[in-house]
Amino acid sequence: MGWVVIEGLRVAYGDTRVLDDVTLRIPRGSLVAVLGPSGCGKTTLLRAVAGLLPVSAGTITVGGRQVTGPGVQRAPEKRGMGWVPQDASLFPHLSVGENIGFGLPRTRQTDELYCEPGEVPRRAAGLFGRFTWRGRAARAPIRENVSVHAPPLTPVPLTPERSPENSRASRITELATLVGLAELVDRAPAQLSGGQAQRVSLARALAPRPELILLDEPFAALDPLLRSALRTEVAALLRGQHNTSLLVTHDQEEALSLADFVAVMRGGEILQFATPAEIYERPIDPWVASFVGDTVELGGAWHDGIVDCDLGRVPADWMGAEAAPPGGTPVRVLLRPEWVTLTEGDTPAVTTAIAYAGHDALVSFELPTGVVVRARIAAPDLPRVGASVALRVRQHALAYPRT
Amino acid sequence: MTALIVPPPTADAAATRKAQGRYRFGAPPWLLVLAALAAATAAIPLVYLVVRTGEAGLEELLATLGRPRVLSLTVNTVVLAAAVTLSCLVLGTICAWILTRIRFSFQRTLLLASALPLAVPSYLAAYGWLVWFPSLNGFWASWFVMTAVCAPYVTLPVAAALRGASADLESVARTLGRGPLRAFAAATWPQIRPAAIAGALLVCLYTLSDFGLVAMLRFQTLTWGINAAYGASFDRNQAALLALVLVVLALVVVAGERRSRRQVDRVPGRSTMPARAPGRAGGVYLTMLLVAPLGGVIVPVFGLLSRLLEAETLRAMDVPRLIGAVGTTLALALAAAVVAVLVALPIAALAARYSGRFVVVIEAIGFLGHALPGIVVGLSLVFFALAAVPMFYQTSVVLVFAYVVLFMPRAIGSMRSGIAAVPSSLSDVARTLGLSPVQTWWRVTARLALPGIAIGALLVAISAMKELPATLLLRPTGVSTLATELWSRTALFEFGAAAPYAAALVLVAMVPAALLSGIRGTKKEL
Amino acid sequence: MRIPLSLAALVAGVTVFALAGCAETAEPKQSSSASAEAVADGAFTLYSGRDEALIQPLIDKFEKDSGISVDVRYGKTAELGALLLEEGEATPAQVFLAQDAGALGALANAGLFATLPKETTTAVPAGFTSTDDAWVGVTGRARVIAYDSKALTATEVPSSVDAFTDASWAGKFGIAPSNASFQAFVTAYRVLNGEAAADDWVSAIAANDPVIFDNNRGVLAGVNDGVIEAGLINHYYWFAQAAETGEANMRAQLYYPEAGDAGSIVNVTGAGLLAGAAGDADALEFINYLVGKDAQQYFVDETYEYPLIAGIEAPAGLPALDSLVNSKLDLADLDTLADTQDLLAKHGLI
Repeated sequence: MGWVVIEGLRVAYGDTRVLDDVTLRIPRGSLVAVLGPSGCGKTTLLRAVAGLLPVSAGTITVGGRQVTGPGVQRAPEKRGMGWVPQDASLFPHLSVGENIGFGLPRTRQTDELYCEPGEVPRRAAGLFGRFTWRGRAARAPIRENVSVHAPPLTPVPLTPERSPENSRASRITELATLVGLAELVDRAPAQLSGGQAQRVSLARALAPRPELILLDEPFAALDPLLRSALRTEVAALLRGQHNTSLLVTHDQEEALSLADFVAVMRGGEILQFATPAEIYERPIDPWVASFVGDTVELGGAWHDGIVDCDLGRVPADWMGAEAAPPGGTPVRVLLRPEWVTLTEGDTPAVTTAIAYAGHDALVSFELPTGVVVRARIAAPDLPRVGASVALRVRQHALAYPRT
Repeated sequence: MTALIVPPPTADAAATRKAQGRYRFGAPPWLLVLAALAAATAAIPLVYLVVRTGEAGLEELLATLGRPRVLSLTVNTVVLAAAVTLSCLVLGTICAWILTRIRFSFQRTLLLASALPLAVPSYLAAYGWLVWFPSLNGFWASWFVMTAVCAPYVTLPVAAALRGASADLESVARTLGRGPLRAFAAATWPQIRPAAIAGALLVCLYTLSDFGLVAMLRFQTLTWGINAAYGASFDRNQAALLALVLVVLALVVVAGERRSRRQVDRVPGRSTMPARAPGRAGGVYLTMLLVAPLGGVIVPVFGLLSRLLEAETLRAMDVPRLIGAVGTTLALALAAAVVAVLVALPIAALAARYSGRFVVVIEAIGFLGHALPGIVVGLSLVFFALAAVPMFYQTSVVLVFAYVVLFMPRAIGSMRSGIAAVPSSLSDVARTLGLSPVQTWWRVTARLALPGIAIGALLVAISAMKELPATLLLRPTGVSTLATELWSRTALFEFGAAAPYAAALVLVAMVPAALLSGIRGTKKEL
Repeated sequence: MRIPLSLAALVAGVTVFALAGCAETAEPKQSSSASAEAVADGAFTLYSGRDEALIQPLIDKFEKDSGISVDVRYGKTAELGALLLEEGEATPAQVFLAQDAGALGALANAGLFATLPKETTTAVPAGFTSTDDAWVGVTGRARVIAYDSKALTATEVPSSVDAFTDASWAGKFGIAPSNASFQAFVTAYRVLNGEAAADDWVSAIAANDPVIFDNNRGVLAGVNDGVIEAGLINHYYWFAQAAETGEANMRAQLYYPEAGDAGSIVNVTGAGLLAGAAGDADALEFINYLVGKDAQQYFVDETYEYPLIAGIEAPAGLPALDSLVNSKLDLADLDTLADTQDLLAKHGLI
C-alpha cells in the first residue's frame, strides 16, 4: 500500500485521451520520478494530482484520504500538496521571505510573541480590547471545565509545540537556511538568479509541511552545470525532510540519479514502474530501453537462454511478455554500451571512431559482418582507431520479440 | 543495417503538444452569472433600440435605410472612423516607441504631455481650433483634430507594453540581417500588438459615437443624422434606426479586434532594450511626440483664452458655483470609476482567462455601448429607469449608471490585459499553498493586475468628467457638472463666463491623465 | 458544478427581456410623485429649453413675486422634447418652455399637453400661438439674413431669399436645415408660394453648394468669421452675441427681408402645460406670468425678442409684428412639418 495511490486515472479532453488508465503507488518518504518525452502527459498527471485539472475517471488517494474519485474532487487548496513549477513562479510583489511564508497560516498571535499562560497578546484582544466583548472574554482567566461558548481567541497556555520556534517568522528563517538563502530573505524576486529562485520556490512549497510535494521539471530552466549541483542538493533536502515527492522530468539522467522509483511514461500510459536500476538494466521494451540510455541493437536468433548474434553466442534473458519462443526464432537483441568490453579472443572488430568524454569514451567498432556497435570503454583501455580488437559481452543481453 | 545508438525518441511530441497542461477547469458558474449580469447592464441601450425600431415597423425601416442621405452619412462615418483609427495606431505606436526607446532628459514631462489630450473634451478641442481657423471644416479637419485627441488611447498602453516586452527577439532579428524597422515589425510588434489593437478599438468606437467635434467641424456622420432625427422630426424611431446602424458597425469592429488579438505567449527573454540618446534625430522625435499635445491641447486652449480676451462681459466669477460644479464633477467621476470597475471586473476576468463562444458574446456586448452617442444612451436609461427603478429616476444613481454603460469598455480592455498578464502558474501555486479561489484572486491576481485595473478606473473617470449629452438628460434637476456649466455658457456666446469652467474642466481632468501616464508595474522595487 | 452554456445564456437572456418586459407593463402604473393632480402645493418643475443665464433671473423674479418655488431643468429644446416624449406620463415636469414651435407641436401631437384655459391663450394673437390651445407662444424671433459687413454693403444684401438660388451665391451662403426654425421657414414658403415653387426653391438651393451648419449659432459664427457671406438665422442670436462681444465688434450685420417674403416670418418660443399637471395652479400661474406684462417686458429688454401680447412695444429697430405674415400659418402643424422634412430629405438637405 502506498502513501499516494493513483488508480486508473484518466484525463480526456473531448476525444483526446491525455492520460489513459494510469496507476501508480508512491511509498511514503520516497521520491518518485515520472520520466517521459515531451507531450507524454506527465505534466497533466502532475496537475491532476494537484487538483488543477478536472479528471474524467480514476481515483487518487493521499495518506488514506481520497482526494479525487467518483463524486469527489477536492479543491487544490485542500489537498495539502506542495507545487514547484518549472519556472520558479515567485510572487513578484512579495519579498523572498514573504514568498516562503505565503502558505503559512497567519496566526493570531504575533510572531515574536511569547505568551505566559493566561496572558493574551494585544492583537488577539482586538483594537478596542478594553471595551469589546471579545477582548473582555479574551482577558478572562482560563477555567477548567467551564462550558464557555468560547470566543475564538481563548488564550492557550504555552506548550512545547507552541514555542516560538514554531512561529511563522522562525519557520521562514528555518526554510531559508535550509535552502541556503538565509541572507536573501528581504530581497525582491527579480533580483535572484534562476537557481536561487528555484530554491525559494522549493522552500515555499515545503513551508506548510505538505503531505506530498509535486515538482514539475524544476531544473529544466537552469543551465547544465547548475542543474546537476542543484538537483542533488534538492534530492538530499527532500529526503532529509522525509517528504514524499513526485517529480516529473524528461531528463533520464535526472530521474535515474535522484529517484527511489521511476515511472516511464509514453502517450498517456505508464510503461514501467520500478527502481532506477531495474529500469535501466531490465527495461520492459525496446522503447523504454532506448529512452533511458544508450543501446546497442542487434539482430539475433533465440536459442533458449542464448542468442546467436554478430557478437557471437551471448547469454540473454527473454524480456517479452509471453513465454520464451521456440529455438531459432529471430529476436531483437539489446545491449548497453558498457556491457561490451575488450577481451582477448577471436571476435575481431575494427575500431572506427572514438567519442572521447574524459572519464570514458564511446568507441565504435565495425564487426566483420559490417555491423557497427558502440562500446563504453574506460579511458586507460582505449584502443587506437583502426586497431583490431576482440569484443565480449559481460552481462546477459536482453532479447525482445521482433514485432 | 547498422546498429545504431539512438538518442531518446521524441516521435510523439508533435501529436500531443497542445496537451501540455492547458486543460483547466471551465469558468466557475458564479463568474459566468456575474459577467452575464454585467453584460446585461451594457445591453440596456440595445434593448431600447430594438424596442424603438420594433415600433417603427419594417416599412419605415427600409425606407429610412434606403435614403441616399443615410448612405452618405454611413460612408462618412466609416471612412472617418477607419482613417482616425489608422492614424492613431501609427502615431501612437511611434510615440510610444520614442518614449520608451529614446532617452530624453525630460522624460517625465514628455510622458505627461502625451497623456494630456485625454483631458480635453473633443468638442472643446474643435471649438478651440475654430477660433484660429474659422473655415476649418470637413473630413480632413475632423480627422486631424480627432487623431490628436484620441492618440493617447494608443500611446499609453503601447508604451506600457513596450516596457515589458523582451528585446532579445529584436536583437536576434537584427543579427539575422533585418534592418531596424523590419526587426521591430518581426520581433517586437507581435508582443505589443494586443495592446495597440485594444487601444485602436477604443479610438474607433469613440469616433463612431462622437457628435460634438464633427458637428462643429461640419462633417456629417451618423451621429449628425441621429441628432437631426431627435431635434427636427422628434422621430425617436428613426433615430433609433440610425443608432442601430452604428451598433452594427461597432459589432464588426469588435469582432475584427477579437480576431486580431491572438494572445502571444510571454516571451521568456528578460532583457529590455536600453534607451539610447536622441542624437541628431532628436528634433524629429520631439516633433512627433508633440503633434498630439499641440493639436489636442495647446492650440485649442489658447484659442479659448483668446476668445476670453475679446469678451466684454468678463463677469465676476461665481466662485462657490464653480467649486460646487468641481465637487459634483469629481464625485460623479469617482463614483462612475468605482462602479464601472466593479461591473466590468467579471467580464474582464472571464475574457482574460477563459475562452468560448459565451465569453466572446459577453465581451462584445460590453463594448457595444461605447459606439452609441450620449443622447441615445441617455434616453435608453430614461426608458429603463422609468420602467425598472422609477424611484431612482433623475438621481445620481441613474447618472452614474449611464456613465458605467457608456464607459465600461474603456475599463474592460485594460483590465482584461492586466489580468491576462498575470501568469496562471502564480494562481496555481497560490491554490496549492492553501488559498481558496477568492483569496487567490484577492491576494495574487487582483494585486498584480492592479495597474491594469487602475488604468481602467482612471480612463472611466476622465471620460465621465467630460461627458455632456447623457449628463444633461439624466442629472438630478439643479445639479450641474463642469461640462454642463460650460455648455450652458457657450450656448449663449458667454465665453467670458465659460472660460473658468473650461479651464477648471481641463485642469480637473488633467489629474487622472497625469496619474495614467505615471502608472508603472507592480514589481517590488527594493 | 459547471453550468452548461445554454443555461447561462438563458439566464442572461431572461434578464435582458425582463427589463424590456418591465417597460411594457410598468407604464400604466407610473405616476411620479411630483406630477400630482390639481394640487397647488407651492412648487412645480419646469423643463426649460431656453438658456439658464437668460431665464433664471426671470424665474427668480417670479419666485419672489408669487412665493412659488420652481425646480428648473435646463437643456436643449430638442433633447428635452425627446426626453418628455420618452418619459411620457411618468414625467416629473409640469411646464415645458421651448425655444421653437416644432417641439411644442410634436409634444401636442403625442397628447402630452393639457389644454390651456382660454384666458391664457387669447392673450397672444393667432399665428403666434397654437391653434388648439395646447401651448401658448411667449416671444417671437424674426427670421433675418445675417451678412458679412466686410464683404457686402447693406444695399448689396439680397432682399429676398430667392436670390440665394443664383449662381453668384454658390458656396457663399449658409443654412441650418436640421434646425426647427429653418424648417418652419420652409413650411412658410410652401404655404405662401405653393408646393411647386417651394420644391423648385429647395432643389435650387441644394444644388447651389450651401454651407450646412448644425444650428443658427453656427451660421452666425460662420458669418462673423467670414466663412460665409450671408446666412439665414433668427434675429435673437445676433443680439445675444453682440451683448457678449460688443456691438461695434460684430462683423455680421442683420438685414430684415421685406414683409410678405417667406423669409420674414417670425418663429415663436412657447410654453405648454404637461398633461399630468392639468389642475396644477402653480404651473398655470407661471405660464400666465410668461404672457404677462412683466415677463414680456423682460424679454424685450434682455433679449430683443418680440413681445406677443398687446401693449408692450417691440424692441427698437425691429419691423412691426403685424406687418409679418404669420396669420396664415400654423407653425406647429405637424403634418405640414413632416411634409417639409420630406421635401428637404428629397433634395438631400437632411
